[in-house]
Amino acid sequence: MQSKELLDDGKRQMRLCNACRYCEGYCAVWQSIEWRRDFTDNDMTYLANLCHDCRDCYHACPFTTPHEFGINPPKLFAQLREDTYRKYASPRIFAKVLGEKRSGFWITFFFGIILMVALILGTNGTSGLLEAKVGTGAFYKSMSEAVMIIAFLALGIWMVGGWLTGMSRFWKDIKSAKSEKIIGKDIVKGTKYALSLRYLGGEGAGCNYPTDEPSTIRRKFHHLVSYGFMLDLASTALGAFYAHILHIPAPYPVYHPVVLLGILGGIGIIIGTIGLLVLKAKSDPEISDEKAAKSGTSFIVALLVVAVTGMILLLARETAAMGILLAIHLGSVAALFFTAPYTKFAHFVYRYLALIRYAQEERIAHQPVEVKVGKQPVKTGTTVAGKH
Amino acid sequence: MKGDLIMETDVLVVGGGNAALAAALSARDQGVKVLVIERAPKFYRGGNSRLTRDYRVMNTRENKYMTGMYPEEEFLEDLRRVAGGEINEPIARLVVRKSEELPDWLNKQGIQWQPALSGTLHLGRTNIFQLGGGKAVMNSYYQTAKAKGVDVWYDSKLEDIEMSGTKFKAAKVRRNNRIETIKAKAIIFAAGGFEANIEWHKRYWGDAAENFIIRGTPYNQGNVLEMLLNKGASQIGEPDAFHAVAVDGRAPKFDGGIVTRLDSVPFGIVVNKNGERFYDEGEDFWPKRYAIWGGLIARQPDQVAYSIIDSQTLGKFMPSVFEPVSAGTIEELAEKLGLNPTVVAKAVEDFNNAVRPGTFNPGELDDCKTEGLKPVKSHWAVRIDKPPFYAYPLKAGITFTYLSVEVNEQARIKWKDGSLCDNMFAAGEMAAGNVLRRGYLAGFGLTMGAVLGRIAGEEAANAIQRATR
Repeated sequence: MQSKELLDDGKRQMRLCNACRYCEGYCAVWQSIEWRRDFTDNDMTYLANLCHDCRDCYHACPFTTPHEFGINPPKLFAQLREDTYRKYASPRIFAKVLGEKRSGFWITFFFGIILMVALILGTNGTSGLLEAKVGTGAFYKSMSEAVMIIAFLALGIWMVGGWLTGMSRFWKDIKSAKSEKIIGKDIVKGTKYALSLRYLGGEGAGCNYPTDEPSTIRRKFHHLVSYGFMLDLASTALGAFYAHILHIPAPYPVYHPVVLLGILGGIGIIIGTIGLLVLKAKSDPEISDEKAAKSGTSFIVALLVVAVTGMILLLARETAAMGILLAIHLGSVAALFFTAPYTKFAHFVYRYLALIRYAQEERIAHQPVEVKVGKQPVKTGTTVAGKH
Repeated sequence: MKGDLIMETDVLVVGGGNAALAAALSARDQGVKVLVIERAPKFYRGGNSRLTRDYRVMNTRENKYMTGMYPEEEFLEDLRRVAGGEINEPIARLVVRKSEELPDWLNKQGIQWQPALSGTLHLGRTNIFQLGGGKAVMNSYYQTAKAKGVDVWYDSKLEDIEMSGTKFKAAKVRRNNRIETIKAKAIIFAAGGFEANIEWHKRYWGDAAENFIIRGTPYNQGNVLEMLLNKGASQIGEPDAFHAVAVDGRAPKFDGGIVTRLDSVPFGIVVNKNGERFYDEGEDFWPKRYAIWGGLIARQPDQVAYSIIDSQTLGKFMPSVFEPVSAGTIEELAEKLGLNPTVVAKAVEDFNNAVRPGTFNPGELDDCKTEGLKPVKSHWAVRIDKPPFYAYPLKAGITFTYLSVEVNEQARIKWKDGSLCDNMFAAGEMAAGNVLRRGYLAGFGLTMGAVLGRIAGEEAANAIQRATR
């Protein structure tokens, strides 16, 4: 569907949902629509990124197809989120090439490996690539420390810079008439919602994913992936601290905190991503957008590749294959970083901002009612509206 | 009628909504075999229950989903009030008392509750709200039924029953264009009223019934109810009465559910097809009045009316699904609605001239009213003079009917001669007239359905176990 048509149909759906409100107990989306009466394009973007795709609303809705109203919020929001990842990333051409196609990661991965091989050959020659190395600083006998630092610092800046650009544009757009100044409390609350995946929780019973029966499994898999990723980040940061501050270069023994964190994170990502892929395969295609499902899968696979190559590198780091495995692993990390601003990876950025905005709107909405002159003098729904 | 396939079960439940599933699960919990036959396909399973929102329950302990206590006597008093004093006291009291168990029992069937939020606050003390509404409830019921080993057949319509004397023997069920015979030791009927049966409405309303909107499932044709009455079951509840509200005239003929609801009436005036006002739009708070407007509109020419407001009041009521018709002048608005512009303009002018100054406040019965106008508008009367002007077409939206079969406190069906049937039970909308012959109390239909359904399920299972012992 074209973007304009999609937005118009989305607004139609939201107006209908706002006249029903049976889903109001499910998640932030349904609270947010009650604080609005008309929906702008930006409101739709905001709602789409608040949605965690738990699908509770879809299964609770009596107005999904075959009903003539044809309501399908999970699919609508999935499509709009795909647009978000493209729209707010820059440069746009990269978004098109790297984000839209599943091949984006694989092509980048391929070039990543070539680049890493080149860097290894360039710094330590063929021995860096093909000979076994042991002892402290073994990795740097493949790729020189300085080259590695510069390459990944640049990639890191590229990734975070890409996210920040998208963030600032998205943040400006999701401001609405309901928006007020964010206070510390809002950030704390929004962060809590994000870290706990509260809206994949379904009031304790879990969400209707992958089938129409409530299950908490998806939330658990997602936790494994996101916390696994954070453990790996922590491992990397600690590794940098050891190497560059304490001047104890990698590789470290298996019981070393850097390696332990890395292993734990890696296992989390591997179990979590495989779990999510299995659930995805079982889920009802009627409720998901094909493009969004593909880009989601592509990101999950990218993470899985990084984790698996990392684990293999760990197992084989004392063999002659180390140089090549290092090139493959670093190539996958480079590809993940390089494509990060344009792929599903960016979802956490937009969802996190949407949750912070939501925390602020929620704080205002739950304040004791002050009657605002000129604005709606009653809270809709209390005295005027009724359940019939 | 020939039945070619024979299947046997202990308890046959006819219908697939809240009462039917409460009955099926309760019977199954007693250890008997249960088959549920639902006339609708799987997507539409649950009849009108799938469009519901809340159960009204007696409440004497703190709970996190309700905002206060709702004791037995107050609940009963509410029932007496809406029914004009005429309730079946023993059954009403039984339903009220047993309603207190419902939140826990239903939660055990997988149904979840939501805390009182803005859309539900005004009923937050007396009613408990389903997380996700009726379809989510039905999903939980059916998931639990599957887990407990209750058989469910969709697209299965009861055509007839075989009896020996006053005892049920077997049912003839149409499924996949074949008639199948189901032998069962007991049968529970919970197949709803006749609200979707336009031909039946015509018996009382004539051709006017063609213009009614049916808010719920098209499958509630009342065929099971009619069959039972024809076989001599005692009838209770007003035959020609229905619960009808004002809905948006552009609503689908069937199954528009809650979203076709329109709350604009108290904020302007309502005229009929002839451009004339016909009732006090500001008589009382809308939640207390919406239920009479269905009947009012049903009695207007062509069963249609138009709610007219201006830009001052748009936005003061819950948003509705359909955009209002709008125009810069009343004449133009009337033309767009297909009404006589001069007459409507005159109606608005007469109203505006009759409005007395006051302080507008939708939160209370304010002092904004008309003087010297017939019919009067007694509250929230403010001049309709700030363009653009808006209008919503209104029709009568039928929610449910009252005609029922009579049952006793064990949900056993009574015959016309006053005797009781030992293995035939009824619950849900088909038995609702046993407590409320008329009138309506939000959330009571579901409550009565679940309570009587549970009783029917247990009694049916007990009857079987007594017979086999």
